[in-house]
Amino acid sequence: MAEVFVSGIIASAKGFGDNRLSIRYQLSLGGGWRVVQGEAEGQTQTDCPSVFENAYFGHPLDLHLATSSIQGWPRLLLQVWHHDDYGRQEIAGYGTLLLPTSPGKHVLTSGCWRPKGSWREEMMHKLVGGGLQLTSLSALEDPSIREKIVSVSVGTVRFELNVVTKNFQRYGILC
Amino acid sequence: MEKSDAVSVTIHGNVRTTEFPEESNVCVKLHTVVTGDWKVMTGESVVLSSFSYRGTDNQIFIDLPFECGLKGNSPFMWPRIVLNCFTKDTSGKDCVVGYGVLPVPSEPGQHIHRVHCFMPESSSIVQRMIAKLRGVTAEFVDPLLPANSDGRYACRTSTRGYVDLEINVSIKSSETGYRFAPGATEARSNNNSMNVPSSIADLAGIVAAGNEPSELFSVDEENEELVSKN
Repeated sequence: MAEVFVSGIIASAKGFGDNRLSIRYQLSLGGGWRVVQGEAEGQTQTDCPSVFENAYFGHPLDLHLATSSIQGWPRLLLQVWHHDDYGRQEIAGYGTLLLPTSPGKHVLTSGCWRPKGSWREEMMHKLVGGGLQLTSLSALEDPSIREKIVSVSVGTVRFELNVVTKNFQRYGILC
Repeated sequence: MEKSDAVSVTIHGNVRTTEFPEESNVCVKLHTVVTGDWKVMTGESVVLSSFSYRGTDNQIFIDLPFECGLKGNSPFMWPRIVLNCFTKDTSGKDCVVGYGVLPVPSEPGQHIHRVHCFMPESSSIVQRMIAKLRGVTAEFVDPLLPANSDGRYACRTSTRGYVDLEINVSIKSSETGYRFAPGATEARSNNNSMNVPSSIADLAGIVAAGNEPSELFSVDEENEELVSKN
């Protein structure tokens, strides 16, 4: 069994307006993969920028995954939640992040998007808040569902990840 | 047969500078946090800097060296560095001004990182006003809270500043299966015929004999003394 260890942080997010955000993530794995240790999903704290413009989380991610197949390399599915001044929460964006396949230190950015509504829905979103949400995150995993959605690009989320691999070269895999 | 500790990590670093725009002075306390079966073998896991005030060019230099040798059974829950930043206010009282975390890089070499430090926010406007009147700020009960990811979703925080630090990592692994850095990873044949160099890595003289790890980035020889083998 080849294994992958990920240690890193969800570092920051920017470009989401006032950037009062929290990031919710979950791991999406192919069939041959399983999580040995670590949490496959979680949520960061809500950061409300006061001194800086971007939201900084510093949320640790620790994963130990094992696989019998090179297909279906894990991805993180992200939901970016925005907390406004009145304490309401709304979806600010969705994104995905492919975990790196090579060992070492990686700085990664995920560009996020939100579903685009009709003219009236966009106006309501701007004036009142709230907005369209996906009913299921399969749109993030499956391109055949994703291609039916019209989206508006929003901000980006930055990750700093360290990857250690084990036993890949024993199976003759270069990565 | 007892399983040997598979991974030894040595870190040497220096907390260089810090910037907290709202503060005139900062002191940094650095904890090397290990969880699970990781242990601190050598060095201090907690170091404390002086209170540094701004100089003429408005910078705050911390200049805090730290060094640590760590050992663990597997790369899961790789050690992390937690920073607590303090400031001394005009009445001479110390208060916390930021909490930050940096996972120790698992790639050998020199790394320079900027760690942003956050403070918990008061839960309501009334609480915020009371805090301002009494001159106290909200703090976490556990100063090492940033080391973990549990329970974070309940917090509201605000980032007040950042700390720039340099960290040099050396890794020694008794298990040959681990790869910590990208590079020419060769598919090793089962028969140990390493006499004929079959790659640039071999020509470069990396000796793969017996149980020695054969990564391109090898550990400093002097650091092997710090970690004693049983």
